[in-house]
Amino acid sequence: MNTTNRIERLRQNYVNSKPSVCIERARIFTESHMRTEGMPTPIRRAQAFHDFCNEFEIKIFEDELIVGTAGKFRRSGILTPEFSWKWVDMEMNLFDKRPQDPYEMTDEQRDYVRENIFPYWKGKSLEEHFLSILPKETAQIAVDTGIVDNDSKWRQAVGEITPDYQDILFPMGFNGILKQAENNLKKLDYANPHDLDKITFYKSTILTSKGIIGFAQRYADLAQNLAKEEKDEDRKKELLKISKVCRNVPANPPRSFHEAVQFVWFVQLGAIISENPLALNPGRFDQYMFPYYDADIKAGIITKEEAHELVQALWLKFSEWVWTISANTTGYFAGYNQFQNLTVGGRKRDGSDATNELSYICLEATEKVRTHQPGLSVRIHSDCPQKFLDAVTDLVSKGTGFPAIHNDQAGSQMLLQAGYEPEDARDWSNCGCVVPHFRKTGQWTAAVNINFAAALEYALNQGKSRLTGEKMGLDAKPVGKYQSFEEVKNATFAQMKNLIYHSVVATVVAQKLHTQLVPRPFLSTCVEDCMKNGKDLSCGGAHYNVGPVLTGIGLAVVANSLAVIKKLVFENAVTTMEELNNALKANWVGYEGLRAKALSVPKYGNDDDYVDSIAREIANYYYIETRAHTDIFGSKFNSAFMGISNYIPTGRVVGATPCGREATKPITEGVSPYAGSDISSPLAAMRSSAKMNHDVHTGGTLLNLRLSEDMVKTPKGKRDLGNIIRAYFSLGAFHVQFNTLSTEVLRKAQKNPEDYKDLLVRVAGYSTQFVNLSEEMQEAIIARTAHQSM
Amino acid sequence: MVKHSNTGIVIQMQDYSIHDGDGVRTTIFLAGCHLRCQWCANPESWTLKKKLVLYKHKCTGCMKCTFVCPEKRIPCKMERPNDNCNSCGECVNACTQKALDFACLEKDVDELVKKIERDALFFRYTGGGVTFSGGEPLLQHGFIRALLDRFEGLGVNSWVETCGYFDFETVQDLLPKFSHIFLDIKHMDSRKHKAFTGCGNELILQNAKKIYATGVSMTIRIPIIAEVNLDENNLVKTAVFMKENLPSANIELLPYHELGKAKYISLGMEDKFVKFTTPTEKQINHAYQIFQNHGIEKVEYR
Repeated sequence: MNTTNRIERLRQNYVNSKPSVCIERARIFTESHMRTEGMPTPIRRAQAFHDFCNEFEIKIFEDELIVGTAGKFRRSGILTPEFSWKWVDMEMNLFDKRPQDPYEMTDEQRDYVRENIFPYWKGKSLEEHFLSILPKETAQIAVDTGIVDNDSKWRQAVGEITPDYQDILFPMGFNGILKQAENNLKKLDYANPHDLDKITFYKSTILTSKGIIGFAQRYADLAQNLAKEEKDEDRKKELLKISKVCRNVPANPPRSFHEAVQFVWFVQLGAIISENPLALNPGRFDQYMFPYYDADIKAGIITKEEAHELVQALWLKFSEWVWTISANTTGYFAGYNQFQNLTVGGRKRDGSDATNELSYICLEATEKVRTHQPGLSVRIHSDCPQKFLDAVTDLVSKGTGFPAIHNDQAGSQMLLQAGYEPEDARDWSNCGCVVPHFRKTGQWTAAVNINFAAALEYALNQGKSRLTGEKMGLDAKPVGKYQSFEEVKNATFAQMKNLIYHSVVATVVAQKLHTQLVPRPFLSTCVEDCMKNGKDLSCGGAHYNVGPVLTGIGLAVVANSLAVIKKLVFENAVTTMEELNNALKANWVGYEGLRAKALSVPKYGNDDDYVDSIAREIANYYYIETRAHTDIFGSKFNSAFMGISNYIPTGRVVGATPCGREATKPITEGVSPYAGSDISSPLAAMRSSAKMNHDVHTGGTLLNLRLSEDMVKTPKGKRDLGNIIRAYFSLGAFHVQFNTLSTEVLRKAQKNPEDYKDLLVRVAGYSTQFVNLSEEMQEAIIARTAHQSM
Repeated sequence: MVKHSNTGIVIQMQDYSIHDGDGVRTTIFLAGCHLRCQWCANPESWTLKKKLVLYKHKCTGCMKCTFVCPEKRIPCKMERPNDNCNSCGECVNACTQKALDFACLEKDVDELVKKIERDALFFRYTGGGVTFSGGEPLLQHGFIRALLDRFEGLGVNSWVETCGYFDFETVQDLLPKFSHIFLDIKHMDSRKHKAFTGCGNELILQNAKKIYATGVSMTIRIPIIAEVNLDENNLVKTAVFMKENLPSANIELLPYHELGKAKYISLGMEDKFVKFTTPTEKQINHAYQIFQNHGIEKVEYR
């Protein structure tokens, strides 16, 4: 089905406009907080939310079917100074000039926030509290270093939530939630000390529920007023329809597909206004939306074309808002990415196939509008309809980098491992990039990124950074004293263990502060049991509380490096630890011969057990060590090998590595091979990746591969790829995603970015516009091996 | 006496091949061929000899190869050794840029089986298997014989792509073990065939009939080259030959491409490279039409 002219106009606007910072949210929240000094924090945050919903000057833009923005512009980013204002203050002069994810911001806006907003938050922000408590030893490793990184958890909100449309939002609407809060509040008694926090909690949810209902009513009024002035009869009808829709949702359960779509967008907006979140996932959209779609189609209320248009309009909405983040964070999450992950396909709670017509409409929407959001994920199970797999590989062949392809059973296995009930484990959807997740959960799914290559560096360099000479790791013996490969390996593990420890410290400190400073009343009403328990999401109110996820980065680099040490130093004795260390110190200059030898040692990603077994040992060690720690709710930490774009900033701080990699070059993402070293074929890369025990890494695993576009040009090529995916998943692997653009096309896009503004590429756990990546990122994408057939 | 050989000369093993038969296949390119097709894309297959390959674009001119050559046969940077090179490999080991390499290495059965065993997972899911190609793979029939027995044990099916120029007696026992056979028929006029490939077509056409008689399903492949075999007369003759002698075989036309050129350069065989014209899509469709008019089914593995 072709896109409508309206969608094409909305799409052009999205492709051609640069995101702008809007300071309204920061202004209204700050002014509200000035009025509520002395009140409990949850109430203050809820009141500020409520005030924004009432005061913000709302707009309905031309052509819009689905309405609502969190800022004045179509593509707005908002500021949340209660989390951190310092980085904004430091960086905003260069917002429009920075290489990755620039924003428009005027001098007038800058002056306003410096004069009227930031001074209020001085000493009050989450960032300042965090940095004041974090122990010095941890801060040295964990603050803006690229070694242990969790700045998205103290400069930003957590996000990482999948609102529960199935069991809460659609059946109840916010009026229902409001009633529930009022009823529960009535049962509580100020004389009971256990009730005090609950009273505060319910009051805060009453405020946010009223806020979001009022917000929608204002849109209903605005649409009605605009309709009065509208000359075009068709648009007038549309505006009246929009008005009717916003009059009903999200206050009440949706009555139509259109209302359900608008409901979803209002929930996204509520969360954005609350906290500017990362990974606010629409979840299993095809499942909870299908009843509305089916009923409307059967009753003749909408045509299929209109249903496509509504879905595509929502895709554009997902893509227009911008997750405002620091330059450091953009290194980890490049490409204006908000990580709103939407999952289609898979099995139902009872185990039967869940694919329906909407699953296909979602795939088609991504192909047609080519937006970078939502992050589109599919679940493929062993008995998945061939038609669905064909639709998936067809989308792969379009070169959008979407969808992220997941093994249904592996996802369920991961959730079982994490302690979920079987039915819930079957009902998973993705959070962020590749974290299997269930909607009734509070979890920090991307709590920390840990640089494995740094651990190796500290083991080989007496605990010091090669680039700065600073002591960052544990003491380690001089490199020449290592007597065996086992010793080197164990020394690396010891350094990893230390980095894990500091990651845990940085996480629990941040978790504790989140409960005190940035409770989440609005999102608490979207996740089951917070309302039953009378407890905020940030305080562990959700039905499931699952431990934070620590993501290991550089698995392949460390495995490859250890293999080089094993082979060249201890087996073949063609070099010594000292010589190798000197080569690394010299960044291989003058040691080209040794580097060539290092490069010819087997590399992870080629199905060679010599090195793959080392990778597996590292991954297993990482799992065991991570699970040894618990968070503030008593939940065990989880391990993951996720992607994001974290392999670039983490590489920047690590010197040359024994695998042959030069200093500051990118390391590796997820369970992917080192760029360009998976020379055998994607099949070998898949077999290597599957050797990691994916099911235990409950925070998700990721494999990115580039395919020559020739491999998926024909129906046979696509069918073969689908069957390869089935084969890969039969090994228990969790995820794979493909970039299918030719190097030639990417080079052209670099030269003529104007002509390739909508070219989507897969970065890591997600796709984004190629031209929106910095040159360094673009080069890294191109460097990934393109597997070509003869 | 049926011959088994535990080793063979392999040009390359290519997995994830989607153009050499059903599903995803691992194509084993074996060295050796009696034909010298002027458009050949794999000229390293012409002999069984291990050959030095030089990728000039990777060479930085560091001269390490010159220094290590025991016979002092690499005269200076970015040049190939002179003809007396005995492929000792010192220069390949010394090169830090991977600019030097060997083509056609001896491999043993176990090594190939190990690789195929790993790929078998993907064969099972895609309906794929192994395809022997070359060169003319059937010249190394002892090696194939040894491999086929082992592949059968893994439940892996094998296809073969042959130019038809071989002694039928030597492979008579082998052919029925293939699940499918691709046979090239390059030209129906033996004089022209000889002019372009160095050999006449009589043996090939005879073998075509004998292969057909084995009952193994068969596809005739024609490398379509505008200057060589695209004329209507030749195509009609080929179709008639097929209709009369190989009635259930289908046809696949492979348009000529120039991608082999880089190989000629890296092998120091630039003087042997002949440039032909790639046929247009319209010409290919027209050629297919001729076969279809004779009731021959078109097939495309791509």
